[in-house]
Amino acid sequence: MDWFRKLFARAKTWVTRRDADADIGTELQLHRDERAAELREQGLSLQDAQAQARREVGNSLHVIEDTRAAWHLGWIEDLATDLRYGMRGLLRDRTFALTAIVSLALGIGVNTTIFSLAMELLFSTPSVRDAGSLVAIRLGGNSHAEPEDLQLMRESGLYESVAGYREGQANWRNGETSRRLFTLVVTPNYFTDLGIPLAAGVPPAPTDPDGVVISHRFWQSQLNGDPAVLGRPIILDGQPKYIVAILPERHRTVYGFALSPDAYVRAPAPLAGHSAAQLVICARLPEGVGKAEGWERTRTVAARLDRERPNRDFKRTEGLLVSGVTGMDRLHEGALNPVALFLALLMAIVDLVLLIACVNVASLLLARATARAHELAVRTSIGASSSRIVRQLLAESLLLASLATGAGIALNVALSGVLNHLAVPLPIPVRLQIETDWRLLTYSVGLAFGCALAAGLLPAFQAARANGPGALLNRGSRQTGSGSRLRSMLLVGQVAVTVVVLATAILFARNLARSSSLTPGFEVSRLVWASSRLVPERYPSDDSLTPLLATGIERLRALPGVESAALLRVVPFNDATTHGGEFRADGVESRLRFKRSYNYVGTDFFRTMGIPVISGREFREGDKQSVIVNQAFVKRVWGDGVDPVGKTLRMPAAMTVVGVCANTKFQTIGEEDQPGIFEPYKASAGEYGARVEWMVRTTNPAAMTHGIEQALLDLDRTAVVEARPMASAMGLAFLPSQVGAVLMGSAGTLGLVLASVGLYGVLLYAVTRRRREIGVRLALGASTQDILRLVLGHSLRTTGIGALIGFLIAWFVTKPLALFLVTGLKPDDPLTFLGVAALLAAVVMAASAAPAWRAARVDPTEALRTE
Amino acid sequence: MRSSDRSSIPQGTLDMLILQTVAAGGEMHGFAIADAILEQSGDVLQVEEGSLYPALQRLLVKGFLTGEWGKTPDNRRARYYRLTVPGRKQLGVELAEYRRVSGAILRIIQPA
Repeated sequence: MDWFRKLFARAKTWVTRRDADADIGTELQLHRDERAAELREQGLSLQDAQAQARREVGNSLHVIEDTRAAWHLGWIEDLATDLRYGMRGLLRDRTFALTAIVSLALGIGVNTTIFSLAMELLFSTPSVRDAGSLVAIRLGGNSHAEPEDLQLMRESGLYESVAGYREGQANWRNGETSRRLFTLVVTPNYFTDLGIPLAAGVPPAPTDPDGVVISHRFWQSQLNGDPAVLGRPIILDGQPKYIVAILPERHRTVYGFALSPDAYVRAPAPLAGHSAAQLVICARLPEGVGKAEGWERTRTVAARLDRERPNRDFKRTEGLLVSGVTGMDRLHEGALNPVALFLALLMAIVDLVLLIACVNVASLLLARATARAHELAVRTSIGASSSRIVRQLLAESLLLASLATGAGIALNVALSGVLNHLAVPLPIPVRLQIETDWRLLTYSVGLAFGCALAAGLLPAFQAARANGPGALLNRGSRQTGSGSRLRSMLLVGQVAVTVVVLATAILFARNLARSSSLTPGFEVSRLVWASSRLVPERYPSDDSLTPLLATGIERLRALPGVESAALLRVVPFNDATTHGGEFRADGVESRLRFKRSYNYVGTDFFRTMGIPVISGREFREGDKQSVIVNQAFVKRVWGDGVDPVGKTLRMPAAMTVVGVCANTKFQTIGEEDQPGIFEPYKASAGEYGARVEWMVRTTNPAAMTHGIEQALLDLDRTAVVEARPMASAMGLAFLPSQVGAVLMGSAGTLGLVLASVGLYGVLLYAVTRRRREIGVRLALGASTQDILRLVLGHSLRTTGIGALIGFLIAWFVTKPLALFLVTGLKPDDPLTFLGVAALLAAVVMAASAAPAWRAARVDPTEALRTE
Repeated sequence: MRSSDRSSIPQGTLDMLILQTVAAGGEMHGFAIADAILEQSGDVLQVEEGSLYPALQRLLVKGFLTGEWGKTPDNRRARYYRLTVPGRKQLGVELAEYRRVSGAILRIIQPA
């Protein structure tokens, strides 16, 4: 075999390579001597002949290197040497290596984590069989539908199956205490038709209303991972149930958004006089039926439902939505929610940071390579072939990129782990299961490698071209035109990108600062929020609740240290109810329709909360058909300066306005003032009645929670009571601005740090290059100040151009951010840009200080002599 | 002194020239090969040492030549190259190819 013979010949020479080099040396020496002898015969002197022969044969090292290339085992052998050499190089230039690796690792690690988080929250695949054929259906655009609608959809035969679920809560009686569990109330076919994998047990039989499926976390944390848990009784809301199955540790609900309920229960029979709880619809399309056909079928069903079971308030066909439950399909038309937008923005920012990191590495590599031009020239002149040098720089870049990638992946794993175990301060159970997104990781790593290779190779080719004695003489005294232009361009680009990132980061930081100084309109620091969840079966009607509420308020008010207490239905920042129905108002001709926050509040509510009543009065015992509205509501209906006390609203029942209160925030601290309307509290055993919210005003909320809990528990021992200072329940209020500030702030800081490192490196390098020029200037009488001005001027000019471009981009790019900002803060606020400019200028000064100082201290005689 | 009318070896023909020279001369060392090429080409084709030894090495690796260490008449160590059977076959292939190409070139520059 031909190749075998070649391989054998190569292997033989490879084994004896030291001899082989010597052999070629011998051959060349002989050649030279023979030539010299020939020249002697032609009449040259011995000396001349030898010199001539040496000249002709040329650099024997080159010949040896070229000859060696003929029998090289090639890249394997080279690679080992190159990697060893590269590692030595990196270790020698530790600052350079560390900066480059840390830059890239941060870029890759942070980038991938944030992207994975976005994927987990928005586009994760639920743990079901064939998620692609499942659709979420919103009849009339409503999130929930009546169980009868589900039944009719099922009977239509247009779907393979229709399942439903809703978020719920249940009191879990565990010995002497009760605990509130977050549940998912599901239809009997939920587990079987969705095909949800279980870690242990079997799905509850459709005929068995008492089988409960529990989450892995609940099993582990509350039941101590008891292996004999299957079949064990569990009392939920006073009903004996039993555990039939445990979900796997990594389970994602069809609902998405990392929602992770403790238990899955069957919907209880509705209370007398109440309709059954509404459900979220999840339907499976038959095999071969695509999304478009699914839409058609759903339209048909919705139209039939509208005919057969007309609803007063809405038409099911209007605003109908059919969307997938996995990946990008989740984003149906009109559902571009702020969360998705925020994450998109975040990803863009983090990508820019990665870009900065890449540019950093590129300019570091370029600067280093130019600094090494001399070394490369020496290596070329002592016999390294240019391809050998290219390969070697390539190896070094690869080594760098590999180390950075390794560190980046480690960082990603660590960050994901931290996020997965983070307790999220939300009133719903959320469990993140971030998995590294390999697509993005590949992309980041590819980018890192690409940039390291490109930046690493460019100088190699330059060095290969600048081969020869010229390169040796040109000892770093002249700027190579294209190289320095490229670096300047990189620097300008980097500064521009940094400005964009910084502008966003500062905007979000200011947003947090501003939102912290905002008040919700009530005295958070004086309040304890207590919440009783009652077992619904013990309170079959609205009236049956009344005694408990009356006694409860009485006992709370009697507690020492309590100033006042009130009932309320919707706790601000933790829940929200809005109404949008049409109504009429005294003194206004047209019918009114706008979104307004709705709440039912007891006597003494406004005093307890510390919300000023501006006109009229608070609710009194026995108030009926009366409302209190806030100022925003008055402004919206009657305009400024009108006192509506005594006027009547028809919605359509007539309600008399008895008071006007100051505006408060309802959902987030940054929201604009919303119209709000309050009705007197009434007992309701229905959807809300099983939960009673109490607000207690006291001077020391933290010390009072236990006493309040006990007082309320005494009313009904089967209840779950949770009392906490209101200040600790404001998570949702500040969450958007905090999350924004933390994520964008860290991205911005990272970007700034990376950019200043890059800036420092490039400036320092530029100064080193201009040593001779500076020396000449100093020798010709330039003062230290002149030199400082020269160096600082150079860096300010470059960054100035970059900053200008950055400001222009930032001005446009930050426009859509208004959505995330608290009122009164605008994206194009000059203060933000001033902040960016100031920060940037400071960083430029700091980064230039050391190089400038070094430049000013150049000793002219020294600088000129080294040339 | 080298005369200026000497030319370097045309691209791609060096291997063929070496093989041909060694085929005619039997056993030769590097300098003798270069000398023979220069002499037989009527002092026109100058083989640079920088190309000769890498080429010899390539031919060794490919198995077209073998190299044996021996002594020159004035008792110096030298590697003597000898054509192998595959080398002779290769020479035939390269000669045929060269004739084909140079014939074609001739037809272009001297249209009949």
